[in-house]
Amino acid sequence: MLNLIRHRTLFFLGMGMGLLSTAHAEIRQTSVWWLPRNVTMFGHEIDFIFYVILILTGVTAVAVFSVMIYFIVKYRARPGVTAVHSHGNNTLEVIWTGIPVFIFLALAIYGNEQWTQMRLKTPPADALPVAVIGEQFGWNVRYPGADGKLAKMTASSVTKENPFGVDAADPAGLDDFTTYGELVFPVDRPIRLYLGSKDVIHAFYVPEFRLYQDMVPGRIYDFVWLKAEQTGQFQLACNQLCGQGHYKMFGKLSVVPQGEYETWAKGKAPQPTAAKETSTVPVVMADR
Amino acid sequence: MSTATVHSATHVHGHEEPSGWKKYLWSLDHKIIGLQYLFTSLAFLFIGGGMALLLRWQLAYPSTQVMPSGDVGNPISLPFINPQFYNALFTMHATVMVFLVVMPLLIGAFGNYLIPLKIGAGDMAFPLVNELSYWVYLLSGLVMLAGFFVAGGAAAGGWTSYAPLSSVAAYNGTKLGQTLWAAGIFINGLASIMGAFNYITTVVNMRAPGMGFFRLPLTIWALFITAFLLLLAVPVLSAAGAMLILDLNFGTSFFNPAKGGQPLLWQHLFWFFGHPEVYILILPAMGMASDVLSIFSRKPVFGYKAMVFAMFAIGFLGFIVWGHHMFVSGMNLVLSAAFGVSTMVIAVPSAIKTFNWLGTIWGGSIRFTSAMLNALAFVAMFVIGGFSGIFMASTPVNIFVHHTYFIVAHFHYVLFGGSIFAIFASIYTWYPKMFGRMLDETLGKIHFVLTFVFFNLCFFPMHNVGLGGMMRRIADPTAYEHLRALQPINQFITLAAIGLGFSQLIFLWNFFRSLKHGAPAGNNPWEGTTLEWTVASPPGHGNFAVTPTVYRGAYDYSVPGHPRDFIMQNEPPTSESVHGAAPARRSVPTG
Amino acid sequence: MSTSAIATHGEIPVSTGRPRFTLAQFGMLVFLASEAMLFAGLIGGYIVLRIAQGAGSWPPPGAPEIGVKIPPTFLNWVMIINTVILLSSSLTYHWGESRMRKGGSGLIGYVLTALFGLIFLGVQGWEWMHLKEEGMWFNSYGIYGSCFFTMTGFHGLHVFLGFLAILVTVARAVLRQMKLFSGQAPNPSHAFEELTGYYWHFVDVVWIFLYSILYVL
Ligand code: HEA
Ligand code: HEA
Ligand code: CUA
Ligand SMILES: [Cu+2]
Repeated sequence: MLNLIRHRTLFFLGMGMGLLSTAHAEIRQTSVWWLPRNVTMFGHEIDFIFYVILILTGVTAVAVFSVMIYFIVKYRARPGVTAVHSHGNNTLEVIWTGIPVFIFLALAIYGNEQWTQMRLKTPPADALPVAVIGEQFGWNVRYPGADGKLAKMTASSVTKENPFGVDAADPAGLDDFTTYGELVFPVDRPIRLYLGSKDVIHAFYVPEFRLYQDMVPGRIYDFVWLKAEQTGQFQLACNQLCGQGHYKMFGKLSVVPQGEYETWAKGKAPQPTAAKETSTVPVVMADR
Repeated sequence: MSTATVHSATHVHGHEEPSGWKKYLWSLDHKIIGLQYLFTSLAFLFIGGGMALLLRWQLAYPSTQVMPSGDVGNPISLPFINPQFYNALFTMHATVMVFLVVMPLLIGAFGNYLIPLKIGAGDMAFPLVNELSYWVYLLSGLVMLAGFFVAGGAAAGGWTSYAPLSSVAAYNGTKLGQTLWAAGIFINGLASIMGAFNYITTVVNMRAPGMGFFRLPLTIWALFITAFLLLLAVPVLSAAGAMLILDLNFGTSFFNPAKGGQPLLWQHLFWFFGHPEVYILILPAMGMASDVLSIFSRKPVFGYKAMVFAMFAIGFLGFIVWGHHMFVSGMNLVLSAAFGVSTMVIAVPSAIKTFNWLGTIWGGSIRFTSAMLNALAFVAMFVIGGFSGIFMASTPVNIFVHHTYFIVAHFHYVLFGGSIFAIFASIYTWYPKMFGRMLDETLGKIHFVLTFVFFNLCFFPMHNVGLGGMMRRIADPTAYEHLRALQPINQFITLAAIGLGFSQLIFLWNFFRSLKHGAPAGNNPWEGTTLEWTVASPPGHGNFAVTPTVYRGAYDYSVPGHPRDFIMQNEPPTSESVHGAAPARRSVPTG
Repeated sequence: MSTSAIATHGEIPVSTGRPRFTLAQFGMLVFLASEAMLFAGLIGGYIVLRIAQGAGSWPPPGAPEIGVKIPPTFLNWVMIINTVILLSSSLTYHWGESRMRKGGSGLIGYVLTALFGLIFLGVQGWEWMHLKEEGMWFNSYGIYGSCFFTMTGFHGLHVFLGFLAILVTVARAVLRQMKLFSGQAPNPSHAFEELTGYYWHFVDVVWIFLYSILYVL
């Protein structure tokens, strides 16, 4: 049923948008109109709701503006014609309150259902955990080694020296490796992100992923997960104002086949991290 | 009906009118204070707009851009705009526009000017507080702008000043500028609160005899409800601002997680204020646009009571939707979903208002004055801006569009397309009352057309740029590969912005020229019904020689059987106007 | 329906009876709603921050204890008494006002209020200095210090402003007293006293909230 709606939606949209929507599959550089292509699983849902709202508002907009223009032309002041004296109409009032209530509630409920899928359900157990900790102005990235597990991280332990706030005692962390500003995701595999920050708020934003999430210091968010369905090169953008270097706080992000990912990961030396500074007492960052 | 709790007669006009230029400094007359607000905020409009043009220029021709030749800086860039300054530019652009232009224009200028005149009072309840609020407002503006001249430059954390960027000096590099910003916000809040309790007291207690609440023009209703929003929302921002100042300067750590604080606390406090604030910026515009539409359609406002209740609903719901700015901030995810629902619900009263505006022009006898054109544009642009709001209110879609130019497009459509067009409509409407002279209609129409066209050319493409993945608040889009292709659109937007900016010079010319050379206005140039049109233009000190008595609602236009197509609110029901008219009015067979 | 209210002609509502509030009183009450939101913002922030600290870390280790203990510590007693003093100042004020309404000057009531206000501020200042000596200040113990000093500071500022207003009421009472002696009619306007009263009672009520969350809970 949903698929049917979706197909029909896309069909109408295709008619309406003409060339615009066909540009999707192309790489961004060649198309300046409309949305960039979508490469993630949840992106479909997001795009779908986007198009539903687009059609809804589009139709309403056409209706409202047509009526408005019609009235403007029809009821322009003309000699000898006086205005109708009317203070309103309650039936109309009820209708045009009721219909929007219905539409908007339906939108909110459907949207929240998807939201629940994306954000409130626990990520799949086999997801590849990747930690990304922002700092002014770059990205600390941490990957699990062969065991597929990251070291235990606590937000309150994040310091300059220990950007991930890892627990040195955790054996899972011994084979972790880190990069700076470089992310590689295997295609078609769920990826669970651990997002945090060393200093101010940054944000993890990739338009082709239809994904935005703030990275707030003092916390490590573990609820964002995604599955990329196409390979390619992307730019990870920091999309939360974080200071003068904000505008060029980008990272390299590539989605590659699983095998390629493994080769890449193997080439990285384990970095249990300068975990020696870790302590259980919350570390007070010196007044910087 | 009227539950006047105070005898307005007990209000004594203690103050005398200072003469000459002095009256623009010390007068306690609400009209003069309104004009003080008007002139000051128009000046700030040009300052804020100038900043917008500068930041637009940087976006089109970035000074940081690496050219193919290897040189840094586009040949026609402005080299003094470095990234930090760019951040300061949009921060102060927004701060100026929101706190020093739109709020003072709508509430300070028109609120002051129109409330006593439209309710039939001689002045505001507390004239001294009123005048004080103007000076405090001016001071707040100077404090904010002083940021540009201190070490480190003006605040550069965005108008939302998210902590800990804003609250830790080492992160933002503009400790003093940021402090001045917060202090300016705090001082500005004082002015707002002074205005708010003054307006509420005035509207509740000083309505002329017969002016029941449901005979108030919608402008007054809107300002009245807005005053409540101000009263309850602004102090929360003041508290947050005070905390920010303490964090920056006294080592407290409300927002600094390194020392036990909570960055999200700032966001909650800011948006608890911030969302009601955006309705503060639109409600008075809605009220005034309703009146303008009614006057120039020669029709009563359609669904008057529905309009009032819709504004109540907006005012109330406005306090429980703030979380829609924080869907992706990482706040409680279930709470996000709840905020998603309340946000959708708050779009309903806006829908009611939109349809009632259409109802108002339906069957009218529309006079296309500059004022009317701007009011119509207000409705259309508000609808477009509201529609983009629906996208963002959908929690999943917000994950994609948050913090992109799609949002920049949204709020300029509601703020410029909504508030500023309504402000233009109001200036064209009440200028004759304020100065006794008409604005030039031809210039007005040219100004309108240019503004309307350039506005859309400037802001509509931002939707596309935003959906294309362009982030807000970046000093140089060419830093990103995926944005480089969009650069021609950015340059186009910039050109349109310049066109938009310079079109305002026509308005300025018209405004100042007509002060001297406009055609004399007379008392009631637009044939309006409300009380301000019963007195001279400009009205004398004390407004009404005799306190008027009100006999009818604010919108008796085109009453059948009446010789004129409008009946003033203070016209007693003569046999002629009542007989025949009253029954016809009660049973309007419209559907 | 939507036409009825605006279409009714002619009837002019008459306000009946004595007004409940003067214009100034009404304005003051509305203004106090705004003040209440200021403190609501601070208190709300405090609650959020404190909950986020998690169980067992309040007060932070090593910080001076300000919460009420059983049996109360010396500091506890000081602040309990201080609270009682502030609250009784509302009573004395009220007493002064009612004397004034009956034609007296209310001087004693106002002087007592001013005195109590001053004592409150003095003790508050002493407490601040005491805590500072113990190593607790705006910038220490994370948000423990931040919240305590900011909130009591904001309140203290309000008390101070109220205190200034009460000094004026005292002065006015002195004038009235002198006129009483010289046999003239007392100053008929009580507006200033009424407004100060509203404000002063408000500040007291705020203190009840602050005391409960800062010291008791
Ligand atoms: C005047 C100011 C104003 C107004 C009126 C609005 C109105 C609305 N706003 Fe907007 N908003 C801002 C100013 C305003 N906003 C600003 C300044 C920001 C950015 C702040 C920042 O981050 O810097 C913002 C940001 C903002 C966000 C956060 C975006 C983000 O950062 O991710 C959201 C999300 O929900 C939102 C939603 C809405 C909604 C749903 C409305 C609704 O009230 C709109 C309702 C109106 C309509 C819907 C149109 C008329 C209706 C009909 C004709 C009915 C029929 C319609 C249908 C059936 C579809 N706004
Ligand atoms: C009422 C509010 C209001 C108004 C009217 C405007 C008006 C304009 N705004 Fe503004 N804007 C905001 C509120 C407003 N804005 C807010 C809240 C933000 C968010 C900031 C943030 O992210 O923190 C923002 C951000 C913002 C951005 C995004 C910056 C970024 O994220 O990096 C941009 C970019 O294009 C922009 C552009 C413009 C333009 C071109 C105008 C034009 O309409 C201006 C037209 C110009 C004039 C009316 C003046 C004409 C003056 C002259 C002709 C004289 C020229 C003089 C000199 C150059 C000295 N604005
Ligand atoms: Cu990091 Cu912006
Ligand atoms: Cu909002």
